[in-house]
Amino acid sequence: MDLSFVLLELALNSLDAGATLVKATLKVGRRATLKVKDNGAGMDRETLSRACEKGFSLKGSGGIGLYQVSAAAEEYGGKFSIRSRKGKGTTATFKAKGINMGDVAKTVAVLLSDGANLILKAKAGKNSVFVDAKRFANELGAPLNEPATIVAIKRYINENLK
Amino acid sequence: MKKSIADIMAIRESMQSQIILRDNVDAEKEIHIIVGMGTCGINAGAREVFNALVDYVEEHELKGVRVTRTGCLGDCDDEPMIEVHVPGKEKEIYKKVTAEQAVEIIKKLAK
Amino acid sequence: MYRTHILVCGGTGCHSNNSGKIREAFEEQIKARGLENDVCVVGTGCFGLCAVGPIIIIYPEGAFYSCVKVEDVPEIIEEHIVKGRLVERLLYHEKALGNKAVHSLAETNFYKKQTRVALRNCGVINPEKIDEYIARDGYQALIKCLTQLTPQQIIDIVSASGLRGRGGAGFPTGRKWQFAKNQVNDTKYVCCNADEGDPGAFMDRSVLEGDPHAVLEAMTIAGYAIGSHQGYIYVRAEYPIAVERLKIAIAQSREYGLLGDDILGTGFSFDIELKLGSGAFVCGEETALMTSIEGHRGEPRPRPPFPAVKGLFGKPTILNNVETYANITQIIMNGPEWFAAMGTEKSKGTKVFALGGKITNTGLVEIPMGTTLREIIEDIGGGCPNGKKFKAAQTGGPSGGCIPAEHLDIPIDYDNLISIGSMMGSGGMIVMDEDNCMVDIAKFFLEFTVDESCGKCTPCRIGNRRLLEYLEKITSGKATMQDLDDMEQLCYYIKANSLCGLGQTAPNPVLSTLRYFRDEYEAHIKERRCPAHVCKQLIQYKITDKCIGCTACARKCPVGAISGVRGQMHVIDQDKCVKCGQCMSICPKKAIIKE
Repeated sequence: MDLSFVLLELALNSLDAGATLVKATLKVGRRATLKVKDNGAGMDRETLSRACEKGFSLKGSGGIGLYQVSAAAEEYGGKFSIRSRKGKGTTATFKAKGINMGDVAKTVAVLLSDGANLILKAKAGKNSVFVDAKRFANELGAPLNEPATIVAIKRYINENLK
Repeated sequence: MKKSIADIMAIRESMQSQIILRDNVDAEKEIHIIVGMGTCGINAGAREVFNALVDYVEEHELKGVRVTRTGCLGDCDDEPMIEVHVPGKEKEIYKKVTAEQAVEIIKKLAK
Repeated sequence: MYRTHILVCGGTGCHSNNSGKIREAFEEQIKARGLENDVCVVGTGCFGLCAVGPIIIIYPEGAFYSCVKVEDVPEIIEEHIVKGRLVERLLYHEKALGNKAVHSLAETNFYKKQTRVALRNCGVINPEKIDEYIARDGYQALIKCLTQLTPQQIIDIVSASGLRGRGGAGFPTGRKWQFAKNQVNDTKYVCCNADEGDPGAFMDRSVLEGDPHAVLEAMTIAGYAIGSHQGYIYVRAEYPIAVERLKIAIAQSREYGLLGDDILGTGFSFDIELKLGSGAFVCGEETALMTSIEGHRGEPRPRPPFPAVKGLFGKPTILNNVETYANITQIIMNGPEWFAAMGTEKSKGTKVFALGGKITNTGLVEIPMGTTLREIIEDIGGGCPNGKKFKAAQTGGPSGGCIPAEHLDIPIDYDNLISIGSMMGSGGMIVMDEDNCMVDIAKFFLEFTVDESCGKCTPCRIGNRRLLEYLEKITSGKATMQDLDDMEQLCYYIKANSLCGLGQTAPNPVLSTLRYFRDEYEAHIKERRCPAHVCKQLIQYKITDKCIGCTACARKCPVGAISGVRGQMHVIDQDKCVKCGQCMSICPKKAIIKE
């Protein structure tokens, strides 16, 4: 388990909730924090209270994603919390100690294929990267979810987060 | 402002990036590969399979191939799973796919 | 660099539903919010799904909004453009997909089965910006022809493609160009028939409104191929938007040197002039059209000599339909084999159809030849609305015939349609259901052709009028079975002896409805009954015992034919009744029926 996989889990949930914009902030150092904020459908109080329950899902099957994330937070001596309002979107915060960044570029590749915008801020020690995917795509003059665009963004992230 | 042939080519170059945004009505004519990206899939390596496919398409500049993701595609034991849709043909489902196997599949299709 | 494109349909259909105002509202409000460098608003040609216009498509998502009103613009801007959220309630919902909200045009059944060749740019580019046409490979075909191909090679390519005239007759285009090229004459002409006169047809209109340059480029290529330096587009004046777009396109082409002297520095000169029609259906006929351009009253001329030998102003001339031209650039760029790979053995390529009448998805579709009528009507057209049963589809307008349900699985091509008594025609397809009377339909088309007959030849001028009189006799219940036989004989006589296509094909609707719906004709004659309850003189309005005596019908009746006491069943006096149907519309209990 690393931060890039937690990001994948959380952001895929955002996209499945209809988000067209996902903002992700990652920081790795002595402590690691990951915050994912979306403009998706959000959850009502009841759903929110069961979100991390093993086997609970609004998508028909599965229900282990958030359970895994909260278990990982515990394992790494940290905390996982979610704030959400129905119709207003969701913000999920993951804090842990001693966890790696992982391959953020590969996670971003999956997220971009949906066509929604992703704004990513990642910092690992002295290296940092900022990506506004839609703006990046515009400057390239190509659609966001085209392989050429996705690979270009992956390269950009990898170069800056060395 | 009479144009030469070179002028017409230049206009075409510069305008193409504008117009390409409007060309998605041919979506149905593409080969479509869907990678199952439920939590089981991710645990089994679906993210790597997805990236291998996208990287291959970009490297070989394949046209008419689209790679997307969906949720859980089936039994956790069968993951990673991919669905391959070729226009005019029945869809094909591949189970327990590795990144290398996925690349082989797309290589055969691109012929 | 624009991040978002808002495409607003500017075809005549949507335009008459305020799409122009919608586009202006977008432009104003985008500017007011300072977004004019990020978002471009583009007026395009017809997208084709006219039934749910005005249509807006927003890229890069390809979100497909239908039935949009001017009042919806602020919400679309706020939610979709600024916040990035699709406006669900305006998304097109397709019944066939279980009323699911459709995000992209490409997902709809309406689009999935189409192959857009002639319509490739309609709904995608702004027809008033030549640069957008160029961006989609516009004028590449002309460049290829002028720099890499000889005139004979061009004609060979067109012949090899198998392209046949899309105006209705289906004459092989390559062969027509070859005849003209073979003539030795310094002056030759290239004409475009944009007079689209069939009722219910608007294929050519959409190409002219949505992609005028495709026609200009093709005509220039044709000029180079046959050795002509002057083209004429004869467009009906009843298409003001098309006329406007053609004028703009010609002006922009001339400005870029794509029309006029020494095109692109190749030494070839070609120019195009616009001629407006004056409201005569007969001017869509080849020789009448040329006579009209020459300044005379539109009347056909006997052939031979054929126009390719002696046409406009007595010079070798080719005349092709708008849709025929719209295919040329693609055939040059993609090669004749590409075109010939689509369609059937003798009918290659695609055809644009204008679906109208009793069908859910009225609008414009382009499909490969060989698609069955069933696929067009059920899959693409969405079937007959309101649960009514399909009865027949009319193709070929006033020159064509009806195709009944028994032939729904026929693959559409020129020869198949003729074998079942109809014809391809220009592409108008009018769908009829159980509530249409086939005799009434035949009468409708005859009224049209009689009105439009130029009068020059007797078989058409007098013959078709007599034919109409027979139909009027039948629909008013005054005909005999002898009349039916005489009428049929008259049809064959008119077909064999009229001077031009108008007269020769005017009896087709009658012969075709007689072939498949003879029982309806006989019911009108023998039983003085109209089975579909359409022919006014043969129907009676009757009040049933569902009547509650509310007197609404009696008060509405314009001739006081209904009598009754309040609270008790009312009755219609059949002698006074003028069959206006107002009573039936107003009855709250649906107690009045036609029989």
